[in-house]
Amino acid sequence: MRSLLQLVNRFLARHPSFRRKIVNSVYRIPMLDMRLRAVLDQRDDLTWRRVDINDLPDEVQIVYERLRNRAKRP
Amino acid sequence: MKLLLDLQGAQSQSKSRGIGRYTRALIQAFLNKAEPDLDTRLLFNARFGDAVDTLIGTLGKYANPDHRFVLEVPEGIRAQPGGNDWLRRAAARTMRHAIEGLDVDVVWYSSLLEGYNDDAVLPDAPPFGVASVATLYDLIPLHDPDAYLGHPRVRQWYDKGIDMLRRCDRLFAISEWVRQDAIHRLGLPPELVVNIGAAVAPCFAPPSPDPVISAALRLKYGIARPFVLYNGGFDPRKNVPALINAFAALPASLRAAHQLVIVGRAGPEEMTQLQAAGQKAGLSADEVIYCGYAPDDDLIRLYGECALFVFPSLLEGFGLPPLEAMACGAPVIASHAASLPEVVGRSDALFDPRRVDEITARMVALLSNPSYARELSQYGCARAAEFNWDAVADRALNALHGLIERPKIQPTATTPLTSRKIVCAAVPGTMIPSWVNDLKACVLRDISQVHNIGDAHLLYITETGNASELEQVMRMQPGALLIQPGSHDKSSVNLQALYKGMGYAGLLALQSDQAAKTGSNLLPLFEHALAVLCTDEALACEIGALTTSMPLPDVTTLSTGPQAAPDCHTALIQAYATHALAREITLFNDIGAMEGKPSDDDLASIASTVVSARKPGRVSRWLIDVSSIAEKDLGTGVQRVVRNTLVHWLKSPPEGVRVEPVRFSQGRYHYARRYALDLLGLSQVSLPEDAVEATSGDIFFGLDWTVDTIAAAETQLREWHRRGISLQFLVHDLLPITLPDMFHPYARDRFDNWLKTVVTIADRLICVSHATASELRRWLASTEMPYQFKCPPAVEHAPPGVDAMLGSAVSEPRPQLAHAMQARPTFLMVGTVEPRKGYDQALNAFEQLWGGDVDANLFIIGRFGWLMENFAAKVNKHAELGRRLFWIDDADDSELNAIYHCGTALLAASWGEGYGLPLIEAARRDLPVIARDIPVFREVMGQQAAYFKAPTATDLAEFLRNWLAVPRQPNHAAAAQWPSWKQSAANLSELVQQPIPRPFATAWSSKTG
Repeated sequence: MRSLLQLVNRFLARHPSFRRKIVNSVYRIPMLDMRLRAVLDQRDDLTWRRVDINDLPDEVQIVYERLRNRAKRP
Repeated sequence: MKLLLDLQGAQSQSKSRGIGRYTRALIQAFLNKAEPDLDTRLLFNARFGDAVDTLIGTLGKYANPDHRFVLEVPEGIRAQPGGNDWLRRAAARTMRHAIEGLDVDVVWYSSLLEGYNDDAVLPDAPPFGVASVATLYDLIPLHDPDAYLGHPRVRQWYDKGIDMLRRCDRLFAISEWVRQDAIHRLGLPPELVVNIGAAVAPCFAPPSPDPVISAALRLKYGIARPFVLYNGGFDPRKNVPALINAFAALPASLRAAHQLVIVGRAGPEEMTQLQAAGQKAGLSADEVIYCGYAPDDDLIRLYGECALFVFPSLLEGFGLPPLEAMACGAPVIASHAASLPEVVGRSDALFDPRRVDEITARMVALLSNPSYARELSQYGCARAAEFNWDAVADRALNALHGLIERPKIQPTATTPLTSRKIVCAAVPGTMIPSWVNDLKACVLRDISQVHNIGDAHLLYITETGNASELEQVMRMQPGALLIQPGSHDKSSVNLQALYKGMGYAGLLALQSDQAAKTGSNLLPLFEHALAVLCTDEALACEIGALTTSMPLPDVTTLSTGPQAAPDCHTALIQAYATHALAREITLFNDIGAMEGKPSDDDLASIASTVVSARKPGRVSRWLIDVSSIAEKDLGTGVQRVVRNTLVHWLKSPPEGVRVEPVRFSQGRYHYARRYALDLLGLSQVSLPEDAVEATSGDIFFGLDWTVDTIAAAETQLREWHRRGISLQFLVHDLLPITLPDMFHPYARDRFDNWLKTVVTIADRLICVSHATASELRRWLASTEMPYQFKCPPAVEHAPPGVDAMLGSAVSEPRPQLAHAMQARPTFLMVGTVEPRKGYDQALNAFEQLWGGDVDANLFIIGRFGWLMENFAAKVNKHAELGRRLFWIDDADDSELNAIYHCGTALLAASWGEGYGLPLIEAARRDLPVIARDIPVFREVMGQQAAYFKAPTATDLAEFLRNWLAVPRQPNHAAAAQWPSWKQSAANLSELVQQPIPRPFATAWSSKTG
């Protein structure tokens, strides 16, 4: 099952608009969306990521460090 | 008054709905009236890129870079999926921070109920010190929560929007009914909600009679008889089944004579319900026509030609369809519910929507009495004319003026700055002045403890000698900086800091000017300092005199004696009240205190948003694209221009400008610092090549011909363009377009793609010659392009320089060439062997000359290019090869210099050129030039060449024969016409800095007027 879902996820990663439609449909069913989000969550995919934390402009890197320093403080 | 208009309502999913149409129409009318009384800025969400482009193009001058603010919003903040609470809250808090940083008096939200199904973002609370205004379209979901707010996430999202509406200083209702509804349901004081109304677009007017178009329209939708029309949505409140039943209940004769035409986009479920209602009412498929979505042109004609328009809605915020129908001349009847009586304005045209028999009775009254219908139609036209956008804009403007006259909002929530705790953090080994005790501050001897200070004011205390120990701490926790004189370590220079503060010019100055070293140790701290306080006046002067392209904080010299502590306290308060970093610190602390576990991606996205919310720096940056040459310098003519121009710009940047070469790699632009340092002879220096963050006011200049990267770079360039970065490109020629047969189809396509991309996104294209600029203008006029902001680029020209083209070294030509040149006149052809250079025609002409007993050499100096295989074979087998015909494809600069000096003339037989540097090279070496009569050669050489037209080889042979009979000498007096590289770089920089002409502003004014 897991490998099947991974296969689906990879396929959907190549078709973001199709995936958006599916995700939006799934989210209309309140009981299902929490379970399927882990598989379909668009934010988990590199192709959707616009900000690459490994290649941030210097200005953004400084702010990122300041935020992380505060948000992840125990 | 400074007003910020949040236009997300015209960008998000609402853009194609009533909210989007309303926002666009009102904003256009409003901006025309608002200026110059109001200083307006437009706020866009960068996430909706295409919608931003459309709005910028439509709003013209009102959306110029200095009038727009484009916020980089994190992806995935929509409410619908859930699981992103932290990111949503952080984005909303950052949005508030962004608005507060814009120094506006009023922010007007086009719609506060956005962001459920898209990445629109609204502030988490009204921005501090800014009056908030929002357009209110309706509160219909509160009338029927079960139908509209069933899902808990929808409810939560809607409640948040309602909370923001409640906290606004003014609500602009689109109708009196909405106003009263808001007062009643939100419990708002009546004076807080203003009815500004709504209007109909000018395009909705009675259509001119045209039987052909009418027949086509009726055929398209299957309309065969006079018809009753409905246009609108299909949710239950629209009450369309009641209309179907009312139509079915018409007397048989009327029903048989009419069809019911229903326009609007219905989903599958809604369609099923409508069809079931029709069947239940006994209507045949021929009697009810479902048109689906109809474009405006069709809709206007349907309105104009219907026998009756019926609108049975139970709840409407305004009711635009009946107003549109009235404006187009339709007799209109509508329900007496909600806002519709305000729109229709006549009791005999209203009915109770819950009583089908009453709807039927109204329909019968109209359909059976043509004169009554005509009278109602005339009334409708007159009534609709009262609803115009100018009047709506006037009401909004008056309400805004009334708002600003009220007392300024006073701070309530946050702790007053003056009563905040002060924490002093001293670098170990630093002497703490005794007056610091008077600040009643907490003194930390361990600077690593500063992250526990909460919202206290932070004062770092250091000496010049050990200041660098603060860099890492201040990077995390910015604060004010008290610097005392100490030992300078003059031997160590922080080159990265020097470059960051002063650019390449700072590094170059370092080689000759030791003074630059002093500040380099302090510069990294200034980036994170809210204020710099000095106990020594000389040190303060030294810091204040630093020339840097980095924003320096205020530098204050503290008094000596008892006044030092009060001065320090005042400076500290002032810094925390005014410096932009202080607001960011508050933001970071707030976000850091939020519940939840953000991922690194979430944090990076918010960091990106925070940086995009910053004001542009005072120094404009020029980002010079050197993607190709930084990859490999092939020594082409284009790259010669890049190299020489860039060197001059880096060494002597235009005043107030910082020049930064950049290259596209790994999906985005990075600084090309290695290339720049090598170019400047600073190879021993090493700097990181991090990603580029561009800000409004920067200029991107495509100096290099980046054919390999432009397609991949287009997305980032478009984003930069939206944010207010000017995009300009150098165009060397249009030859693959003007002489397509002389290029390989692959090369042609690559050029075509490059040109179409840069033309679409550029503000300005600068050609290297007037001739190329003219060709480009002609091409632009004849080609329809999807310009990013609906506006073609400006086209200018600036010639390149020439003085550094060849070195001064002169060697001897190889013996075989020298012997031939001594024996007879020698014609030189210099350039890559490619079809457009005219080599084949020249060789044919020389064959005729040689056959006619003219004794002359033809030297071809250049490497093999493309599509000249037959020519190369012919030359290699030629009987004159090595006697009077020579092909030199390996001459270096010094040999070329020698050949120029010994030659008789340069023959430039090109059919097309971008500029013509070889001609200038020859002329500057006193070599006569014989050139084909093409515009660019005339432009470059003026009177300094002999021109031929010569469509055939025989014509060229004849011309050369005559020229040899009376050779002409070059005109030395005109030699000064070509600019040096220094002049050329200065001319180009002047052009780049000139304001971009904005023709679309005029186009928009005429369109809306």
